[in-house]
Amino acid sequence: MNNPYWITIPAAALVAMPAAYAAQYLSVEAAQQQMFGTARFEPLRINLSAAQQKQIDAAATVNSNIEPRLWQVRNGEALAGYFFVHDVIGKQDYITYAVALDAEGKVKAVEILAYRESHGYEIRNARWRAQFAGKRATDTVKLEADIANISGATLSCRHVTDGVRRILAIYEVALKDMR
Amino acid sequence: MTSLPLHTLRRARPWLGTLVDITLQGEDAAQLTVTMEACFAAIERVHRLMSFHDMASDVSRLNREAAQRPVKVAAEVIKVLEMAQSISSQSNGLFDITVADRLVARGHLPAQAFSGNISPSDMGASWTDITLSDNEHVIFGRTLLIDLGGIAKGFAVDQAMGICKQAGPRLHAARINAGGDLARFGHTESAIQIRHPVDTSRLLDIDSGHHDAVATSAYAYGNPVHIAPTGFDNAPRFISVTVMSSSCAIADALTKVVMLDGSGHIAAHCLDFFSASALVIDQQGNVHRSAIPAAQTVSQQVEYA
Repeated sequence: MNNPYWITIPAAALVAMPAAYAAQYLSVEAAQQQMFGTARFEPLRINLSAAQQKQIDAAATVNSNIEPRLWQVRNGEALAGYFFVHDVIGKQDYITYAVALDAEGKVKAVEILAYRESHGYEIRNARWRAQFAGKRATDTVKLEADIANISGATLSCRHVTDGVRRILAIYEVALKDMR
Repeated sequence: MTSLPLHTLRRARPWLGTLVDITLQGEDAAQLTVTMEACFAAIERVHRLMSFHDMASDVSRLNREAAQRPVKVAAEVIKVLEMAQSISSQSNGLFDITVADRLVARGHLPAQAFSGNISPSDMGASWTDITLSDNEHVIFGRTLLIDLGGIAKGFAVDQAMGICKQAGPRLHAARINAGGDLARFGHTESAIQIRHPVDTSRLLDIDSGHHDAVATSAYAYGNPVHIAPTGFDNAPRFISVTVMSSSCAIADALTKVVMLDGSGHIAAHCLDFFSASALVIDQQGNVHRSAIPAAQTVSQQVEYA
């Protein structure tokens, strides 16, 4: 650029960094406590019929190979709501998030628990993914850059939005009439 | 003072089409929680008021009705429209929130949101057809569509940062990163970095100087849509543009001006006028920064907060 207003910076200013970006926010337990306080969390397994599965798929498809994990939340005997943890996979990213629904199925809170970005092959690699299981919010994974101070690390939340839509569909189809 | 233990709270939630990541640091853990919720509430409010996609937003109401009658909108919307008009004026219309119809035409914004409710924009409609009247009413002189996507994300960050700055001396530091838009204050040990848009494993350390707010627009990921208003060349000049300013909204909007004007005089004028500076990566991968504007010390400090 031959323009006195602009000054060229030597290429050396660009530093090579590890290819993975990551941020960890909350453990599952911390998210549960933040969203529902000292309520009781009962893991819930729902067996969806083929028809229900079809209904949910019609309402919301999501980029994930696993359905959300689900807890029923109780204060004493009263139903306080539902708590979900779900992993969604983008082209280059892998996001774990939690959703709280109140007893009427309304979204109470959404929190990102962890975010990873890397090349697709690493995300699909089960062993690579397994290293994050049981990680706590305070752990930092070495050789990964934290996105916190990076401008231009535009992360799409489309997969999370799709995932929340799917969780609401699961509620409508399988949970609403159960209680 | 030095012996007080500092608490850190960090959360991320999906808003504004991206993950909004907020870190707060201070002496009082309970205050951090309250401030965090207030920050996200402010961001949610901007999202709900200014979403192009949400039929109930103020922006959608304007797009449906403002060509027929004056439409009352929230004070925040007026504030953003005033900033947008100011940047449009200084950039001779290179920044223009009325390019939304072309974004719809090219499939970058959803058309279904308007089925049956809106006629296509008048040929030649532009930002000059938007009138902000007293008591928070807006009227469009012609049929047109606005989209605040080029400025609202930065504004949301500014709103949340405003809450942090009013939280008092026990909040020592705050950092808000909404995708490309980043603002912070207080003690922070690490430099702000920009990601190379093509080779994302490379980061560029930047000296943001006295500026608290940084916004990046880039081509290879995330938000590759830059549409120039009528009469301007559409070709992007750079693969990445970062603008540093005292306001994230201004920085956000100016990335579009620099992206479309390149090293031209409009970009240079706008950076000077709004006391901002820029750092760009050109198509060959070379990095350039704008000369530090002479005006940045005091004379033309524009305060929008």
